[in-house]
Amino acid sequence: MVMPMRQETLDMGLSELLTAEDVESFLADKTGTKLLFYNSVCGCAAGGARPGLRLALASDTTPDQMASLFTGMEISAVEAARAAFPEIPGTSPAVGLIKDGEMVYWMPRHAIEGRMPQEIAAELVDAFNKFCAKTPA
Amino acid sequence: MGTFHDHSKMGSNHGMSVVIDTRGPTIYAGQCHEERDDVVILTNADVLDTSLPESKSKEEFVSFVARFGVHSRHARVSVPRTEIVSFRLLKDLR
Repeated sequence: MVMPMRQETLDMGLSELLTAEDVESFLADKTGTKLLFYNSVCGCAAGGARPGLRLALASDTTPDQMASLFTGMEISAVEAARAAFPEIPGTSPAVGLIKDGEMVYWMPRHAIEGRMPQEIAAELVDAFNKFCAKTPA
Repeated sequence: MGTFHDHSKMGSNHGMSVVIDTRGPTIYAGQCHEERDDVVILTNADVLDTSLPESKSKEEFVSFVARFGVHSRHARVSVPRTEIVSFRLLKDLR
């Protein structure tokens, strides 16, 4: 049942974190910006989250690296990611933006619920522009 | 595509993240599962009892959950209707 939802994120260019080791490897390098998408089967929220994320990733400024986790599926990977940022509640779907090892932006489930993909994308693009823009040399 | 909740049976807020304040020292946050005549049932919920020593305030609790979401400390809680003084969607508090 989740295969099409996985494929949506793969088609956006996100890698999949399937194990705790995958998460540790993804987070090991503290430099640059990383997007972490907590995917979910919930139609109330995730049905808007994935199209919203896809729209946002069409913008000029995007994170350096991007990955997704599937909550309720890859238990150890999700636990590892949540353990890395214990102050952040484990809601899903959700989008986190990490810069130089710090979670600088968090879009929790309730920021996705009931919103149109365009609204979700607009907020994400604002976050990308704020945290992912490269300083001109 | 996904799991779609049956709003017709569970109430219009089924699946939505909410904060429920009570007339007492307790405030709740979680996903609204079912709105019954006598209780509101939340899943993946967090509960703050401000009567406990060192407790944060209700305002601090609401501010945190509005920004970051709800720590799922209780799989399911029932909030008696008679205790409820406010019922708010978290998305309206960001």
